Amino acid sequence: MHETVSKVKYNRMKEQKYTWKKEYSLVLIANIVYMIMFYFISNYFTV
Amino acid sequence: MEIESKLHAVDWIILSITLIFIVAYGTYVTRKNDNVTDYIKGGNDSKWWTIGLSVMATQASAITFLSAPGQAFHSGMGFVQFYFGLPIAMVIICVVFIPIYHKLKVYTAYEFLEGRFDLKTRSLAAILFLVQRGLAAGITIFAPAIILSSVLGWDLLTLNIIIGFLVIIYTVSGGTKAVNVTQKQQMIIIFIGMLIAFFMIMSQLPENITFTNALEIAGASNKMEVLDFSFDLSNRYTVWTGVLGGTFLMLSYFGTDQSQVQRYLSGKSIRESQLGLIFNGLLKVPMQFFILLIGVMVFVFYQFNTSPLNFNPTANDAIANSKFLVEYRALEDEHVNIENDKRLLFSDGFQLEEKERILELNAKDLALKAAAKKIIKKVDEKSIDKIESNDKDYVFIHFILNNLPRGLIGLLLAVILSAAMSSTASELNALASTTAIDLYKRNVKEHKSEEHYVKASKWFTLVWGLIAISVACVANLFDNLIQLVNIIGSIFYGNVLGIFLLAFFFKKVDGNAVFKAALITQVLICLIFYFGIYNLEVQGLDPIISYLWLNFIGCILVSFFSLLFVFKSISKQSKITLIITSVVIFKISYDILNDVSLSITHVVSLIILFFLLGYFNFDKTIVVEK
Repeated sequence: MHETVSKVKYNRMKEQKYTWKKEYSLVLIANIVYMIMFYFISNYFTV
Repeated sequence: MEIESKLHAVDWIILSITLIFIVAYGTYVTRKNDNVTDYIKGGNDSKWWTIGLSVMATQASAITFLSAPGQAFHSGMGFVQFYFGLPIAMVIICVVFIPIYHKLKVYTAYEFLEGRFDLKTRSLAAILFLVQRGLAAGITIFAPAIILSSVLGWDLLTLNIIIGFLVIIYTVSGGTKAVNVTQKQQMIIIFIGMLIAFFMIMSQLPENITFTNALEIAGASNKMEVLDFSFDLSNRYTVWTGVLGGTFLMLSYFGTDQSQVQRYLSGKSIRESQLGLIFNGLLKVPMQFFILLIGVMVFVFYQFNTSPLNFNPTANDAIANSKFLVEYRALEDEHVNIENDKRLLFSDGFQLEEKERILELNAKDLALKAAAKKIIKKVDEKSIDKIESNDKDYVFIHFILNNLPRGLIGLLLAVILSAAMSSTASELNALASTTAIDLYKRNVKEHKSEEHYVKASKWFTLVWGLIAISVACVANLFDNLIQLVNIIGSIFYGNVLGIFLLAFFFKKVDGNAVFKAALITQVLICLIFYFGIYNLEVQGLDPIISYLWLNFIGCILVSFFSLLFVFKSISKQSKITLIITSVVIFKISYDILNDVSLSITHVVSLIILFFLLGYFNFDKTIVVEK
């Protein structure tokens, strides 16, 4: 049965650990790679 | 109507079978959902690829596939920059939002706000979402329906009702699971359809024109300028607005909008939900690039084939019955001459020395199109029905109907309708869940059986479906309704994102402070919109800012006021930063009141101060692990 999130339930969570995973770096690097590719495409095909 | 006959029996069969199969399959496989977890969180058994496809299908509405190629046809590839903030937002949501939502086992994003703040803040955020998304669901149906009815001669009301009811059938029956299952199939159809469309365009180019030649031809007309590094705030698509504004916009959409949150809450585990968003973060930019590239290839195709001066058939019909026909025909003749000249130039591909001549011809053609739009606007003023002079939404559908073979037209129409259905289904599903969990269960009937809440959720889905169809049916009576919905989104989104960021990162801020701050921010945003945008536009003047910036301003203001309300309990550094922020906000307001428009300096200083405030008030219990 679904129980609404109360203050007690929230406070029980106490310390929240945020984890960095290698996939996140991959997504951000891919975004930069896309931008670099677009830069070359723009330069190559815009005369 | 001539175009109506372009739909052959094969097209009808493919279109009907595709849509009926999706609805029937979605309804059948999810018919046994009888508890709240199954109905609202899809039984918490979705794998990452289901989540990824579902998130993409929710965002990609029919208008994405109709408008984006048209946008590229007219303005080139620059629109892709709008998505540069998306991968950043995906990472932030994976690191911060998903672990908390999953640990608290929330059913809606707003439920988390009650645990962190209080019930009133949760209800406020839920209501802001319902108002905005309720209207948007109607437009998700209306926007493709108006275009398809206009080019195919179908009845607009019937089309609205058909799209709406198809979605209602499986969404009411199977809830989130039905939405997820059908979205997988819809995305597969969309990917296949768009790939085939691309290869069909390429195959219809002259034999001596290779893909590289086609890109050179597009480049000669400046359609391949993907990146714009200028700091001009009036330019909507630059690298900076994409990375900065885009991150804020995507963070509010994917992190706080229940229609998206519900997709990844259905994940089997935190890991599956995170991988689903990573999948979206990796694929969205290239997918959008590809859709725009299709538009650019349509542009190249029309360098070798005749195209109408304006692609909107309703506008052309209206002009044919007006006194402006002779004037318009003269423009069309000139357009044909320009097309002939360009065809001659491009017959052997693109040569560098032809660049100047091409730009000259393009400039002439643009002037003709602008003159045609002026005539359409004059006809529109005298017409009872609204006639759209901007034809970007009609370019791709015109190409499909006039140049693709039998069967493929049916498939591409299935792509467009699938996209409309997938977005609408997520919206109805989210609207019903928020109404059932955040308002009905929490404020009206708290201790009822599972069965009762599933039944209530089904009724709410039906009611929201009927509201969406009603909005779609009356949408044609209002001018610029699509823009109005986007404006309403911008008015609310920033405030809601601010509330969530405060909840995640600012430990000292409590429920009372954020509630008061959210109310003040909402009033201020409405005033800024009314006096700074709407009132000026009515008078024919330029607005002080584009309405898209209201997102960002809302987010800053709610954080600023919340910290102001807990001024006593915050650290010395944040007190100093808050005072500096007050001075900056005062200076910006003073500049704007003296007709100085919002500049990049204003925006950058606000961003720096916002991050400093975040840094000084960061919740120290948060531990970042490598």
